[in-house]
Amino acid sequence: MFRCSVVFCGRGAAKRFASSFSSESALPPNLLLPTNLVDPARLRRGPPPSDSALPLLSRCDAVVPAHLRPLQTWVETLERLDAEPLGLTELHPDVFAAHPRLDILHQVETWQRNFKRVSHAHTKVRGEVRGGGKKPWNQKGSGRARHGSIRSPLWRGGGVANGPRGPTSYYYMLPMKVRVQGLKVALSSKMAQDYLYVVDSLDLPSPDPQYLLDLIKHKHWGESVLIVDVGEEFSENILRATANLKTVNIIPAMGLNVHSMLKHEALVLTLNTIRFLEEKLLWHDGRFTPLYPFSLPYSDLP
Amino acid sequence: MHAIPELKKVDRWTEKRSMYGVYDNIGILGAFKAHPKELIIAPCWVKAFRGNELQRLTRKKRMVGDRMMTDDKLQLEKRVRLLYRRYNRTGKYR
Repeated sequence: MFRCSVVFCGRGAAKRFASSFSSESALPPNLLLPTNLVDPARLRRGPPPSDSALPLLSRCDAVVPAHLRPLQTWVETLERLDAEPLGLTELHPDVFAAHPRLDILHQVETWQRNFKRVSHAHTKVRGEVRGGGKKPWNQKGSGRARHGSIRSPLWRGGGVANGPRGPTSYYYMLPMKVRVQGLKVALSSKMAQDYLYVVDSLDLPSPDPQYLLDLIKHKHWGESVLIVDVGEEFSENILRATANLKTVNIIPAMGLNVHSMLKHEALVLTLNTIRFLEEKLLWHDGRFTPLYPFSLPYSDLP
Repeated sequence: MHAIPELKKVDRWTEKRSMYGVYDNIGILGAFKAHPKELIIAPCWVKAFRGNELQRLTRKKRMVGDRMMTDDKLQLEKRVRLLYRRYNRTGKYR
């Protein structure tokens, strides 16, 4: 028996193939596939053509700049397993077709990880360790090395010299417009990579989680789905369906953030969510710099 | 030793990991009624505050000092004294 291993490096991915027995048909356990593999079943549906017969269910409320056109996407339904799209909707280009600024995405993602971080690592310094006030032996005469306390960092059981000290916080805030732009870039990236889906409302026919999984599998949405809706109340069916599912999660529109969008593969928005997000995110483009914090009353907050 | 230690099995979709970061934009998307700094779970003198050790300890003494235990208070004061002298009297940047 011989072992053959072929190593070649692709353009951004490494694929390692090792088969020990030549007559094996199953995949080898240490197969590494590149992460940018495309599922051909997802490529079949393209963007809606400009002369499509389906109705335009909702237009952009905000003013679209003159040099840009609103994007259009299909509006699906969750009622039936293999339903055709109900219609089209318009998406504002400044929110859903922003430039793909990966550096802003990185900044916002690191901010989200770090600003809440409080490290509770704590070590005692030589003065805090119990004991060690007395000089262990005379400075001269005993033949041993000279020491002043038994809790110095040189000693076993002594204090730590430059260790972590107390609860440390890593808090900082990115400028508000950077965080807003991060949301816009994340939404645009989802849109550009065909991972953004629009649904008219979250009414499921049954609270069965398997129905939701079959729907996602049938429509080739992806491995993990993030469902976003505006409002505090959700219908009981969708809540019961997503309660025990790990990779399908539902959040209110106020909880939308870049980390969740990057973690979940597909993003499902309702029509109300799209209007809500456009209103909230586009306001920052044309606002004045705040003279007092936004938590105090303003007349034109969205 | 020929054993290759096994990779530890990490579940990437626990409740905490799948819901991480939700409500971080509660200010922008929620009409500024709340600030993301209110989401931080930490001791009160460290919540939404970043500083070096001396700044954290003096803030702790101001905010929580009168209800600290006597031994802890003493160690805090000793440490503050040491750090003040180290930051302001020694080294290149004083």
